[in-house]
Amino acid sequence: MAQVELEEKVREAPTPVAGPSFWPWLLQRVTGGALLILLTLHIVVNHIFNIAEVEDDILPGLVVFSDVADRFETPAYWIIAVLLLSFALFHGLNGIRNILLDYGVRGTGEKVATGALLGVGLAAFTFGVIALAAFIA
Amino acid sequence: MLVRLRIRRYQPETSQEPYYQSFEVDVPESATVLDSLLEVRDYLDGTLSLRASCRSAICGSCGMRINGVSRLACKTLVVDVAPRGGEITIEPLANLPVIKDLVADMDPFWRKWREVTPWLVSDEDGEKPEREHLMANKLALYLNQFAACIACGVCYSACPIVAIDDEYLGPAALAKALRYSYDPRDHGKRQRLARLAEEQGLWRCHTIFSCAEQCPKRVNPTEAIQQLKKMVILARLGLAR
Amino acid sequence: MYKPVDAQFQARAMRTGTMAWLLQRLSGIFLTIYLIIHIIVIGNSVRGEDAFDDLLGLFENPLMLVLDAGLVGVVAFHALNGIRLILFDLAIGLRYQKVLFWIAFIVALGVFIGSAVAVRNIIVD
Repeated sequence: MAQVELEEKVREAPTPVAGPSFWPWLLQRVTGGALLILLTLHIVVNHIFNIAEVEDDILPGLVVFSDVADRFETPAYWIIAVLLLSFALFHGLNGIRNILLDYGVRGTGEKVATGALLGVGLAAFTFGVIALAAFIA
Repeated sequence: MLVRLRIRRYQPETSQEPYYQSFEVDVPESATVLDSLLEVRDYLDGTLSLRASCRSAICGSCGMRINGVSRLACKTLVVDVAPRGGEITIEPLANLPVIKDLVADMDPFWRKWREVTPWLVSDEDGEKPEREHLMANKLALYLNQFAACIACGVCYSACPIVAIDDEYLGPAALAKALRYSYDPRDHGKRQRLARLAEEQGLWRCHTIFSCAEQCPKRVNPTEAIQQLKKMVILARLGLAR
Repeated sequence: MYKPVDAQFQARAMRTGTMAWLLQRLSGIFLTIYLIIHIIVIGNSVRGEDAFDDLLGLFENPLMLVLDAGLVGVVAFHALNGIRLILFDLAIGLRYQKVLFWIAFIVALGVFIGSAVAVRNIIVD
């Protein structure tokens, strides 16, 4: 119904307009959707399929170094881990940025805040990758 | 029935601070909150200031907060907010400066309204039409709800995002923007969407739905905003066929 | 002139949509802080296998396990309500916003209870 008119109307706009918030808004949804799968995998793989050998004083589902190291022998696991790390950091920190925008942080304040969040994100990502690499070192 | 109105007063000529004042009135069972307020103004305190006109939910003047909920006073029955008599708290619309008592300054509301190009932009360079513009009946009916807005400010008052950010365009302006953006006679979509896609435009809405729930004319600003977001995203991604 | 701020957060004016927004926001802030802490904790891998295993052993106690179950519940709520929001962004289901919220909430509660039961079984053994 309104869909037909929508498409006609949108075709009329030759150059797309979207403003600076377009990509953050879209990526928040994309990363959110992806995290549904990535996080579920993460929790399930680490705590449910982890019951390999239950030793005397180790609880099933407890994460131990060697198990994690074993998992990192598969390249697929690396890809998932890096995706998870980057998506989660983006989604969370962009979320914080959104809260600041809602409270009317604009102009210089916004640039500073975005810069700071970006800095935290990059630092956390770098540290995360180093931490992951330590499992197979 | 006896009912007590606890009204948020503000009389800048005599005092800098707002305060509450209570009045007890005896009104018929069928009375609206507006009736009760006018009873106060006409017989108890002539200095009580409020806006009202049509008494029938079409002029949009009497928007105010009744027991914390933004609504039209003329459309709110006393028995609905005070079933067995008792107290009703009445305050001016939120998120707008207050001029006096229950009278809110609607200037910010109108300023944002104007910013969304709330009119049909004609096709300057196009051919002169040979016949009237046609619109599908379904589309006309769909647009009807957004055209029904009476600019009462209730949605603006109800929105928590407006409360925390002065610059957010707000539900009424955005709903109006859809009314024109969806109209096939309009050629101003690009300039309008450019304004809406700015930081304090569409993106500040978090689908809280307070506006849609409170609107006395059943306009649904949340739906309008979501449709507009879709329009902007599809256009930007080049997915509009 | 003065400007009154909306009474959205007063109990009598609190509605499903507002509550959903607040909970999504609060859970998001909580999860972001948790994420940073989590990265730091797992980062102990750089200290070697034994140090890592010792540290994680500290999280074996019942209290931490229950908190873990709570965390999973919060993640579930944020994720399910997030799906609700993505649906709204596709202009789907706007009419059913309240029902969708309660579905998200109750399923998340179920996930929490399931996790808590699993944790209880682990502790009891």
